Amino acid sequence: MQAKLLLIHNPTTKISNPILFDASCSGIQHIASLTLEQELAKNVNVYTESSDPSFDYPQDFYIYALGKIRDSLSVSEIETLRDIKLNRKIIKRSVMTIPYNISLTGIGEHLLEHFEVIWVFKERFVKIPGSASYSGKDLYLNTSEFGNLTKLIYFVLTKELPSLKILSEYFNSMIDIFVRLNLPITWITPAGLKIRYTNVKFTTTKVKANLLATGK
Amino acid sequence: MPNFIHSLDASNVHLLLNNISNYKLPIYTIHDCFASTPNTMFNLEKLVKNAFIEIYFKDEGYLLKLHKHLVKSIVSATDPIQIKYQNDKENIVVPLNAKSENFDFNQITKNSANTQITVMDTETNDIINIPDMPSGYKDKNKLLNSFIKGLLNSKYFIG
Repeated sequence: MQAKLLLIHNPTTKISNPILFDASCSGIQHIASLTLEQELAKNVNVYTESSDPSFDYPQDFYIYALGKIRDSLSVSEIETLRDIKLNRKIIKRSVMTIPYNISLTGIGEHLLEHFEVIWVFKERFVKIPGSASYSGKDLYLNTSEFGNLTKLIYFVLTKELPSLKILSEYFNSMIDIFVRLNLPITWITPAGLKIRYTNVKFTTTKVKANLLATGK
Repeated sequence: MPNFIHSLDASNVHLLLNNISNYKLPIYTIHDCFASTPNTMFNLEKLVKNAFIEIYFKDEGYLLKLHKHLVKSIVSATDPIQIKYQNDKENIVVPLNAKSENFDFNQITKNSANTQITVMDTETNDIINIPDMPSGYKDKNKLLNSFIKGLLNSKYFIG
């Protein structure tokens, strides 16, 4: 906008504002390229089969993932969940962080950025506004229902995307062997940097201590 | 896996910056975002794509290179004791609790398609197969050239 205004006043204005190119979901681009999955690669614009790409439209992986989540919600056993109509904005952060090991808790936190928490007496509800429901009515999810919504999204994003699933299984099996051998995991990045990564198994010891003195 | 994917994001930037010096274009990057001035965007897009191609679609593909490296690490830290053929595959048993002796692990990594490597915990007799490449990868590996073409043609890889 600023550049446009400058141009109106002086068409020879030299514009030096940077333009930013953003990858379309880079984590998934890496997964698709690692596993050479053409379908996934097409969904994140790594690959086109078109002979005349000037007619191509940008693919949107978030919409693709949203479709899968909506399909899964529509057959949920929980009636309230079947009425939820999530949108691209709500699931975007969760989808973006799939390749970086998004956790169940993480997905719950991302969802709560869009929804309001309401307390009725001592019970906690998450309010899904009418704009995010098929019936147009506000929905109130109790802790269990919200947990099920989070699990459903987590399951779809981590288990139903074939490339991600097979890659995770491959790495988990490899890591299991390295841990048993007590070996650090090393890899050389395509840029030639050697990375060494050690897993340490921690054990938990629970102790009880009084922080405030109770005696005289 | 998150650390691994982060290392690939970093590699993309690393390779891009290695190749960019000839073009004298101003650049700054944040994770997977690349910025430059309007007159250099065409070259920048080409260079980011080339860095990506260098990572994944050159030679035999990065996942196969990584797999060979991981297998080599496991075998070189153990002592493979048993080599036999099973289901037309060379079966190598690597006992977890033995000390390493000389073993030519190059024979495994040269022809990993016909080799099944098994890790055995000699204390518990647990047997774990070293995972093979994700299914179908070796067949897909033939597609590397079409991936290069498909990526170079893609208008929205970054944008």
